[in-house]
Parts: sequence; C-alpha cells; structure tokens
Amino acid sequence: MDFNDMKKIWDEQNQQSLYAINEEALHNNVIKKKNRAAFIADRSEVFTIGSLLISSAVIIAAMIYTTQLRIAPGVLAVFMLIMAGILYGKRRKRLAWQNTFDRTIMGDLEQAIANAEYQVQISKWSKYLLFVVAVVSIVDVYSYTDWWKSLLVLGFFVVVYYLAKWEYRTFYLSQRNNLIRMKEKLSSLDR
Amino acid sequence: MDNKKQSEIFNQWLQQHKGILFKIIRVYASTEEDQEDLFQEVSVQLWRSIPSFKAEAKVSTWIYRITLNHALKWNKKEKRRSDGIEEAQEQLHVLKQQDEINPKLDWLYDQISKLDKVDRSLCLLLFDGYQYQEIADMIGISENYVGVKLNRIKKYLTEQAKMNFENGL
Repeated sequence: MDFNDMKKIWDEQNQQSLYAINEEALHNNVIKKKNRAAFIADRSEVFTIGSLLISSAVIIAAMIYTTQLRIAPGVLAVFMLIMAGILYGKRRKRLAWQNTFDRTIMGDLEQAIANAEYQVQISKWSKYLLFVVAVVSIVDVYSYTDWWKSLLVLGFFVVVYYLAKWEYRTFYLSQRNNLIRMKEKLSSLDR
Repeated sequence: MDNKKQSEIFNQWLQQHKGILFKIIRVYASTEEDQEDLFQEVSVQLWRSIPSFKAEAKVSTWIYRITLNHALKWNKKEKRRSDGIEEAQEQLHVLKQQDEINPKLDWLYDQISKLDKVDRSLCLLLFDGYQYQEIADMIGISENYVGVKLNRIKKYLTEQAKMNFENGL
C-alpha cells in the first residue's frame, strides 16, 4: 500500500461518520443532570424559606421577650415572612411544571435547563432580598447602638454579598450555561 | 454579535464540518473519555472563535486552525483527573466510535496517532488536501520545513504499511 492508496482510504471516510451518538449513555447522563438541577433548586428553596422563617421568628420572639416594639425589626420580620410566602408560591409553581416535559433526551434536557434557569432567577432574587435585609439591619443598628457597630454589620453583609455572587457565578450560572451549550451541541449533532 | 446569531453559526459549522473535529479527536485522544473531553473542549473553542472569524478565510480552514491549535495544547484527561474523581464521573459519553469502519482506515489512524503532536497535524492536513503553504500558515512553521517533515511522514507511513500488510495484517 503506497501513499496514494492511503489517501484513497482517507477520502472514503468522508462518506461515513467516524462517530455516532451513544443515545442510552447520553440519556442517562442527561437524567443525572436533570435530577441534579432539580435537587439544587429544591434544597435552595427549602434553605431560603427556612432561613426567612427562622429569622423572622427570632426577631418577633425577641420583641415579645423584651416587650419592645421597634419599627425596623418589625418591618423586617414581616417582610421576610412575605418573601418566604412568595418563594413558597414559586416553589409550588415549579413543582407543578416538573411533569410537563416529555421523557426524551431533549425533554429531560429542557427540564434540566428550566430548573437551572429557575435557580439562577432565585439566586438573583436572593441578592435583592439580602440588600433589603442589609439596609434595614444597618439602619436599625445605627439608630440604637454605636456607629462602628453598624460598620461591622455593613462589613458582614458585604462579605455575604460577594459570597452569594461567587456562588451564583460558580454554580448556578455555569450549570445553566453548560446545559444550554450541551443542548446546542446535541441539536446540531442530531441533524 | 449576539448569542443567538453565534449559536446559529456554530450549529451550521458543526453540522457541515463535524468530520474535521472527529478526525482531530481520533488522532489526539485515545480513550473514549479523552475523545469526549477533547470534543467538548474544541467545540467550546470553536464557539468562542466565531466573532473573530473573517469571511475571507474558508470555514473548513478556520475550523482546522482553531481545533488543531487547541488539540496541540490539549493534555490527556488522566493528568488532570488527579484533582478528583468527580470530573471523570461527569463525562457525557456522547460519542461512540462506529463499528463498521474500514480496518485499513483504522490502521491509518493508529499510525498517525503514533506520530508526535505536530506531525499528526501535518498529516491530517496533508490527507485533507491542503497545500504546503496553507499548512505552514496554519501550524506556524516554514513551508520548507513542512515539506521536509511531510516527506519523512510519507516515508514512515509507507514503510509501516509495507511491514504490516506484507505480514498479512
């Protein structure tokens, strides 16, 4: 076999594809990603609702215990209860659309993307929530104690904000973007 | 360029030129995991390269340029897997090699895979009909050096073929 024969063999491959999509393994992998996205969304909701309820309960309990009715903590407690209620409503809606996707590779992938997108929105929403909690807390601390204590509180919220931002980019945004890229790749290979 | 437009171009390129990517991953990655990993990485590089693509170049040449440059820098998955086993578990296994590939073509790929990294690129481009000057531009070496290297590669492959096929393989 000389070099020209090798060239002919090489050119023949252009009529056939070297690789095919391993559908079963791919589907299992997509299901794993779908379950992971749903698990992250579920835990995130439960943790956020739990934190809001516990925080507002602690504030209300402290006001009852000290028999001091202060406006800022009272408003904050009510605000957090409302936010917990809104998030619970969002969770119910999310659970309701879980079974609306078909059980194909693309359907499961769409569901994974929908859950990942939901998580991205919740994470953004949590940052606004954090901002409101931070402002009310700092104003309250500033009004009732030394000014430097409000600076400490401000520092705490700044750290929490950057941690939340890091979590948003590292986990939620990258998870969603990876899933979208995977869908694009599969769509193009499928043709 | 917006994301939608970029995705459309990417899908079109992948649809028409996925053969180039398949050839490259076949000669630069040996295990299924590595092939999958390299395929994903070159796909991402290709997607990122779309805004810098100038229409005066042929799309296939551009795809070769981007994917070969990345394949030349790419390291086997095993080297990076020491960071943890999770990475390995995240493999997609989207690709499986077709069973009914011509055994002679399979042999040819094996021989190309045994060459050093740059020679593999030269060989792929030669088989796909690129001129020495184009190959030199893409790989970043002189045209003369491309000629010298390709002559050696042709000689090596011919010797290997003679040795293997005369022995009835």
